[in-house]
Amino acid sequence: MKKLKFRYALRIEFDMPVTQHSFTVRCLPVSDERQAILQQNIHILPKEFLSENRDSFGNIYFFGRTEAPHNLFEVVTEGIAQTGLAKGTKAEEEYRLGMFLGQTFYTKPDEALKAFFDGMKIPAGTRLQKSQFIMEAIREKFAYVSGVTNISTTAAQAWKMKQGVCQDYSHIMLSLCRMAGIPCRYVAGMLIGEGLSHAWVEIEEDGMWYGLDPTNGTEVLEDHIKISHGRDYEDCLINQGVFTGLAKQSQSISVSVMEEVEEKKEGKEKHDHINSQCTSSSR
Amino acid sequence: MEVRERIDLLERADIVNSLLARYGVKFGIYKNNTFHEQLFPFDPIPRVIGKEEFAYLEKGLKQRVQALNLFLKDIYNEKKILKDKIVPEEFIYASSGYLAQCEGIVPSKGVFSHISGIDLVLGKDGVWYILEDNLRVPSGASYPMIARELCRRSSPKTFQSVSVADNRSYAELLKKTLDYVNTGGLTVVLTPGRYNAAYFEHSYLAEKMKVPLVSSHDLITENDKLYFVDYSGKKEQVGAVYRRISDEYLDPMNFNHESVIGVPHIFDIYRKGNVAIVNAPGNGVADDKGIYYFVPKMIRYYLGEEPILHNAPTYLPYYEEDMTYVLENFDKLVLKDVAEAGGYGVVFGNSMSSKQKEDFLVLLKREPRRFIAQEVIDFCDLPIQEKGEQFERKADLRAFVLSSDEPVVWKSGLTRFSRNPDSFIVNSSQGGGFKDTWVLNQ
Amino acid sequence: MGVKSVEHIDRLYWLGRYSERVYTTIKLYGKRFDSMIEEDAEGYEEFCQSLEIPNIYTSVEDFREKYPFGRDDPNSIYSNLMRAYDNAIELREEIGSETLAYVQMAVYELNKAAISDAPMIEFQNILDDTLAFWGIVDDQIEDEETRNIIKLGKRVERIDLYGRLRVDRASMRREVHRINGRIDRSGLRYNKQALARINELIEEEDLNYPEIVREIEKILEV
Repeated sequence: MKKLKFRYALRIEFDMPVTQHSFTVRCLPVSDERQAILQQNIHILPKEFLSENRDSFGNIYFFGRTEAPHNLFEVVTEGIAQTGLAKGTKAEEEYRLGMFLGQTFYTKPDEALKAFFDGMKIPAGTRLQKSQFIMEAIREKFAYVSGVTNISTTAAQAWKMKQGVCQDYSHIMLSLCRMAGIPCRYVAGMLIGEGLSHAWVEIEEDGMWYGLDPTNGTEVLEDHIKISHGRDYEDCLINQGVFTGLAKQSQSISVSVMEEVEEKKEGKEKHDHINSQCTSSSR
Repeated sequence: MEVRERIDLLERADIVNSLLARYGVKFGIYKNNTFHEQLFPFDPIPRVIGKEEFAYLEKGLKQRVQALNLFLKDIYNEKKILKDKIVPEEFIYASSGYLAQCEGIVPSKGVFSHISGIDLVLGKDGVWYILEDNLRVPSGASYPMIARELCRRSSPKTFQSVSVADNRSYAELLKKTLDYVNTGGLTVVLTPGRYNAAYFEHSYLAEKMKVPLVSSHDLITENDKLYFVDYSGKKEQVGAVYRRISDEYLDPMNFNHESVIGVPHIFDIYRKGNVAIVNAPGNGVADDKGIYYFVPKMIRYYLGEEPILHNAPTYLPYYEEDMTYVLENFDKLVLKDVAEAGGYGVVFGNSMSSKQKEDFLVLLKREPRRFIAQEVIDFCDLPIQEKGEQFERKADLRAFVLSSDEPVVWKSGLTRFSRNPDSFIVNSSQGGGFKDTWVLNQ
Repeated sequence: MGVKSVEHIDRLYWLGRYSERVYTTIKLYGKRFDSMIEEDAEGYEEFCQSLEIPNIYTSVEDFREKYPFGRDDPNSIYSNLMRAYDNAIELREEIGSETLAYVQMAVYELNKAAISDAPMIEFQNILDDTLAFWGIVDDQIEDEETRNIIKLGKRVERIDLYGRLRVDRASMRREVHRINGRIDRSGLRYNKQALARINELIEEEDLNYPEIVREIEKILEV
């Protein structure tokens, strides 16, 4: 069990004022059996209108609109989460899991990924054991390299390059697990010591969802704070927007997660100007 | 048909067609990437449905639409039909019409398919067969509606001698359907704009219902509500949107992010229950060509009744025994790609060359879920009139079922015919024409 | 109907303007057409000047073809009628199918005129359709604002054209007096200064036509 202090900050700067900016942000962790959110708050600026709701997967999201011209859009959430309260979270009944078995735009395999799947000798065992085997098989062939892939890269495309980031690891793992008939889902969240948002997968076994982090080859226990889940990256978009104006935008995300202990160890903080987990499109 | 002899309307075809031109009864079509407006060719010989025959269709259509509405509610909520394994779940989740975003949503008053366009054909065996269900944005009601108005004007004698149920109350029926689910505020028709194929219909129905026709930029969302903004900046709350925009383009924040014809966050307002979207998003899962096979099962499952109307005999290569049947009887079947619409992706087994057949079979065996196979129904052809002579052509019937507290079947329908004597395809986008559909009062 | 979007207001106004432009330019063209039956004179130059449109025509035949029917000529009667039509077609539920029909029929007539050796017959039908259109606007459109915005467009366009064509003072004064009575009923916000200035200008003995045109073009700028 760990007590993690987290902060997620997103900053979008426009080189010209934009108006009629509609946005949706999905960046607030939700309490479940594995993690309890002890305290948190969110600031969104500017916001003329703001609403809160839960999406079809149960994730919290905020949506709103700003009519007045602005050059900056900022979202900051911070709080304290207690993690590792349980190994897994309760899953839906088996007959409701079908949507996590079907391939999506991001996870649909091509011939090469199918061939890799066919060549894997997945041993008999539980879904979790099989998934762990798949995770190891991916990690043997795939390397963490940032800047090679982007937010629209599919599992098949990333697999061709054998390089990518957490989003790619997760999509490839989802693709393979789904080929093996294992219900699994994409998770967006934060990881201790990581300066960007993170992604991993959850596997369903015996009525429970268990997290596996293919980027790090670990189980998801107490170092991860989960924000949202869905079929793939698309369902877990942290930020989306449409606005009027011809502005170019530059976006920076900074995440910090550190353990709250007596000595107050500083978490690493990193800024990234690459569009890593966010999309925005102009109208 | 004795009725046909009593109508002098047939001599007035040119007058009716010139009146249709006067009122701009057109549909849009893209040829070589440029937009054209075309008159929708009208044939004066009506399809006539007797009172009793219509009563039978009415009963069957209501039953079918009731079951489809229950199915949609179930699929996006309890999923009993999956639990009980009546429909295999991969048929749901692989359907392009299924939208996970709709999970857990029950729309205003629980209605999903407010306006259902059910396509039927009459077989030579005298049996009506359902061809397909259209539960997304079925179009076409405006054409027989205005054609009737103009036929009555052109040939009052005809309507004196034959007692035909008036179909011009469609707009009232539609308005009542929209008002029933309205969550408070204006009712509007949302159009993607005049370059949409069915723009005439959008504007005509708005006129006849006396409600505003709006585009996405007239609507905004604020504080969990949807508003129409007028020229002075005043905001009026909107409670029901009869949208003629497909799900994909409805809301760039929830569906296709590139859509510029959608209203940002309209779906979020809908999720909160503060506006009715008609028809409900996600309905495509129920009118999928693959799901069609299961509709008779749905009727038995949800209503505990035997289906009154029949599907065309359909096989799902997904099931092994059906695959065997399809392979053995390939030449007498029509094969349909479930992902295609508008008459595309339809092939007849006997019209393929051996090479085409070979290629097709490879595809079929690799992706059996993608196809359905149907017996070719021997349609009852309908007479059409061209330059004073009559010819027989393939025709279908789109019946409209409007669901509010009770489903109501519009006493008319759109009869489309193929103008090409060798074609089975009646879609307006592929050059077909239309007829009025008369339901006799006695 | 009550609620109207900015776009609809704009379309109503321009529908009024283009219907007037089509009507008045057809009448002018009719006179020119008549005089061109015998003479081959290059009178079309003067015609272009009077309307302040660029003379892009290379011969009388070219003028006779392009000015009325030219699809790519933004000043042709065809282009003006199509702009009226493009606005009208997006206003069906606002103005009614019966009203829209007259604009639609004018389009059919123009297409017929283009292949006719006596196009003035079809042009006469377009004038009839336009007059019927204004009549039905007056008679059948229940919503007062809708009606008055179309009519305001028509009046503004007429003053604009009369200014360019330098019509006599009495005709100009009549049109300005008509707009004075119309503009408040449209419910639109307008440039009160411009209107006051136009009223001053028509009191002068020698009308300053260019200034009247400039002022009337600013009438909805607020």
